[in-house]
Amino acid sequence: MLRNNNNAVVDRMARHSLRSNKGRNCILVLAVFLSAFLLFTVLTVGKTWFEMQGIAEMRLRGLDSDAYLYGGFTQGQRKVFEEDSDISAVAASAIAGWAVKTEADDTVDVTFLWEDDTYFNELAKPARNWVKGNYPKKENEVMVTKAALEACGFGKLGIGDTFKITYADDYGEYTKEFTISGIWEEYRNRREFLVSKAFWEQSKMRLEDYGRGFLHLKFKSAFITDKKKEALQESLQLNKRQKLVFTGIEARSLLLLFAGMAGLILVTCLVAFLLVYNIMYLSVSGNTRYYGLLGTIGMTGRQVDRFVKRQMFTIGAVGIGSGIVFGILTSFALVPVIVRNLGVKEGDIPVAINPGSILLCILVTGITVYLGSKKPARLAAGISPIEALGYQPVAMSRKTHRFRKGNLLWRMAAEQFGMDKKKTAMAVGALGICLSFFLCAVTLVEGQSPKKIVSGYMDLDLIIQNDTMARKEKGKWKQIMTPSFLSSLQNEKGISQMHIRIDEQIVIPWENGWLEDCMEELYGLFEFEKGYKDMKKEYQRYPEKYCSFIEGLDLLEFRELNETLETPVKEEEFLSGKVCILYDYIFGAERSKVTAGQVIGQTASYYLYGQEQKEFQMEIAGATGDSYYGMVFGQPPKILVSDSFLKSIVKEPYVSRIGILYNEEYDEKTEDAIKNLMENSEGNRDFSYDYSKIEEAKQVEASQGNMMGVGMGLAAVLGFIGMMNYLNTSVGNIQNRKVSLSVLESIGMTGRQLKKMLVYEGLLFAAGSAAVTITAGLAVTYCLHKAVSYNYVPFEIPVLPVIAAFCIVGAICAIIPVAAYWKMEREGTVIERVRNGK
Amino acid sequence: MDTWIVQAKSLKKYYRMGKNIVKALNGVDFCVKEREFVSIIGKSGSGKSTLLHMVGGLDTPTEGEVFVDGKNLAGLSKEQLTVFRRRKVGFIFQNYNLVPDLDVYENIVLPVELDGKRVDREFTEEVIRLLKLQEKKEALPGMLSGGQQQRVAIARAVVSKPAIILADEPTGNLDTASSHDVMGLLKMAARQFQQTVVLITHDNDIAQLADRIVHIEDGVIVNGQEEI
Repeated sequence: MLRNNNNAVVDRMARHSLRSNKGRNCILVLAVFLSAFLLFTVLTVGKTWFEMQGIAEMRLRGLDSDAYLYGGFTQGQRKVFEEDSDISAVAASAIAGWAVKTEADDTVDVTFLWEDDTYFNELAKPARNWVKGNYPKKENEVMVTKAALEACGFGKLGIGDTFKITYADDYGEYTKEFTISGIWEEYRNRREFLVSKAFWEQSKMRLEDYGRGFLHLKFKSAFITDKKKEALQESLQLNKRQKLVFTGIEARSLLLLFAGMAGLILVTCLVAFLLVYNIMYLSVSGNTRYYGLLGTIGMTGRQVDRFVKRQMFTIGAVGIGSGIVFGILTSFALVPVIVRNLGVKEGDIPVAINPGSILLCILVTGITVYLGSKKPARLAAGISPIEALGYQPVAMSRKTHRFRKGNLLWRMAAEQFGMDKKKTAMAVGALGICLSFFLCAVTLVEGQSPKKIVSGYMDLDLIIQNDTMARKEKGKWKQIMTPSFLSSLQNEKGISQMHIRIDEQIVIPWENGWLEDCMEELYGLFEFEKGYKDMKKEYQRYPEKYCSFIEGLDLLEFRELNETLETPVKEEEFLSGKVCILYDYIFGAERSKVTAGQVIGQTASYYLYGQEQKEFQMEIAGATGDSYYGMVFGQPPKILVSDSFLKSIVKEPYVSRIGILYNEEYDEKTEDAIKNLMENSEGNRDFSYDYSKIEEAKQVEASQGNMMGVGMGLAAVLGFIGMMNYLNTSVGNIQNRKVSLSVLESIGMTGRQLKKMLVYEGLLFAAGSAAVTITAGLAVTYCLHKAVSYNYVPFEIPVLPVIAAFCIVGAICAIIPVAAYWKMEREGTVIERVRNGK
Repeated sequence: MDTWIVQAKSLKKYYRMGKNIVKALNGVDFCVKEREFVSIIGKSGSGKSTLLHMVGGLDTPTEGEVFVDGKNLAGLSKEQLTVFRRRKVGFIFQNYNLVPDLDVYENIVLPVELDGKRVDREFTEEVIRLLKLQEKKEALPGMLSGGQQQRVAIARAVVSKPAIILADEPTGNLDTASSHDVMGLLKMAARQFQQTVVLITHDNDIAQLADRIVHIEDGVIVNGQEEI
């Protein structure tokens, strides 16, 4: 028997159905269109955001590199890098000197840096805001930042101008006139003079020396395996002072970032799937009688299946096509906006539309439409004509009654909520996913906010310091933080705490125990002009040539330091001056062999400079390598004591720095007032800010751009799909319950009671989605926070935005069913609705 | 003297169907005494259901007045009509119109609970017993036969002790045996609980169970009307 091809008839019927059900099909096309558009937008925006993150980190570093070698480098090591096929660029930079003084300021903190071509023209280029002029070529040329010029007191100079400056290098101090060959600005506030290769070469400084030469590496792939890192470390044969530091994305972080991206796509797909499925399901179940009728007139199940899928194919094709086209058009407008929001110049990042995104979008939305319509098509094919005639659109999943307590309307709302568990789960799930995404985005972005990630010593807002204390000769020290300056500071209302650090020069006579260990280790780590043996001889004979310092800490500073010590020091003993804590770089150095345990319990003997007849002895109770205590010069360890003790042995100790805490964090008014005080004080040129939380936050903010805006944009996009899903579920539900609700009205449920019940139903959906959010959403957010945030940033939920989101979702959930009921109510009288509904 | 529980005067209900006007009720005077069991019989489209809906406050007349238990329905707002139905009328529909997500017991006590009153458990149990629903109290409507569902609807109509029970083709969806069963129970319940019942049917046999039969044709009562 020949098979009769009746597909043409089915297809024709499908076309008829599409034409005659324009309203329904428009909603379906809109749903698919939105899904495709949103998926495409999320993919595009997500990709762009990912790239933006990389740019933000690169800007913070000041160059586009994945690793650097510090501690000096040899040409052999450079060759190893250059021959490595995984490395695309090797760049060198070196410290060629440092400014000492100018006519305008005799405590200048500016570094002379030489950068090779690769560094300046390739790696550092993307991190710069702008460049005017050229990289210096002549020995007396410099390229400057505005910040560096201002630090020298030459804020008004420009390209072509000259200035005289005294600078130093490892071999001496020189005064020279320089011409400004160029000016540049980048996102970091660098105080640097870039010098020419000629200048570097004449300086006789060596790239091999510790703290002088640096090598910067750019890998071909941002993903560097641990194995690769280890192999590279081994092949370099690093000396004790060298360290290869990887700044690029770590494998774990990269995986986490990709997992995050995949998660975002998955969430979008899931929400879109739920939306499409729900609409299809509602569409078919709402037309059960129609499909039953098709069965009655002889359409087979397979034909019904084809009939539904044919319609869905057309709807899917139109929806996906228009969604992607609209997505592409929108992306061209959207991406530059995002780029600008992230503080990047337009054009730095190309609009991230690629065929991959389009194909992925077609594939995922197509699969979503197919899966979404598969079950409804099967459902339609399975409807028997007899069943269809007596069809009532309510699932009867419950067999017996469970409880009859509580408010009737709440009870009825709860019964309805739990009636069709699948549909409820889909709507609650979609809403929950959207809310969870919002929670996640707002928590993570807030966790990355400048005010969160900027964290300094004791959470201080500002640290000001006396630059004269950095001079080797005590005669050049100045007491710039005078009692009147201190009292003016104390009178500032915005200041809640001041930690005044006092210092005095001391001499620690040579001893063969702990001091010898410390000095030997220091000389092992660094190369000094004199070798260890020569130094030891000289130290023993002329200890005054190796001065050190005694630093006085206040109680809170001591407590802060004490918390970081492996063996805490007894507070009373420290305050009374019975014991001290040692500061030495070596206690914080990674390769150092001398530990705190080796010096604890030993006795430190010292005398104030010039008063060798009066020696003090203290037991060393702790040791730290925290550089915050190492501001002042001197090779021997510093002795940290309580400020009260120091004041008892020195009449007027020098104030080296003041840590200031404001009443209110980021109080710009107070900071300005302090700066004014400093400006107007006698020693205004010798002040510097070691740290300003406000300025740090501003720098981070400038490099991050509007991440919150992008995060919220994504959350809004997803929230819109989630809400569409709920809207469909809710409106479909009300339509399906048209008879049931009218019957309730007919037997005496007032409109007010009905609306109340519907509001309760909506609130249950909102509560369900809130429950999903505060369980699964919170857990995911916590894990992601742990994975991507800095360790010191505590896990904090931004309560207000989250509560606001819950309230908005609650309000929308409550309003939608009531609005659907209002619309239904206008369809006629109770009895007309009952009659028409049947 | 008998008390009139329903008094409808010169009731008219006109619908516009395209260019035509359909006169569903065309000047009907209709009254029912307290505890009376009245059947309204007529062909499909004769206006019997429309009359019932007017009496039950489900629909509003184009002209005329309806008094139920002394209350003129014409002056009531939509919300007041709903409360009126809840307190004064018990409906029994052809399609049972039970709330599918509530079980039998909940369906029965629903109008009482909606009114915020305490459920008279003893009375409810008596009604349930009389209508032989003791075993089905916790079942959902979808799990019951048509006859059982209609018994639930009768119980729901009775339990709020309304002024009048309006039954719109209560046996329309039932087989003969179930129809007789349901009608027997409705009659018994009406007698036992001293209820006034207005029943609509097109089945003469069913109509015969009533105290009085009213014939309606083309929106006009042609037989069985009592003088007020």
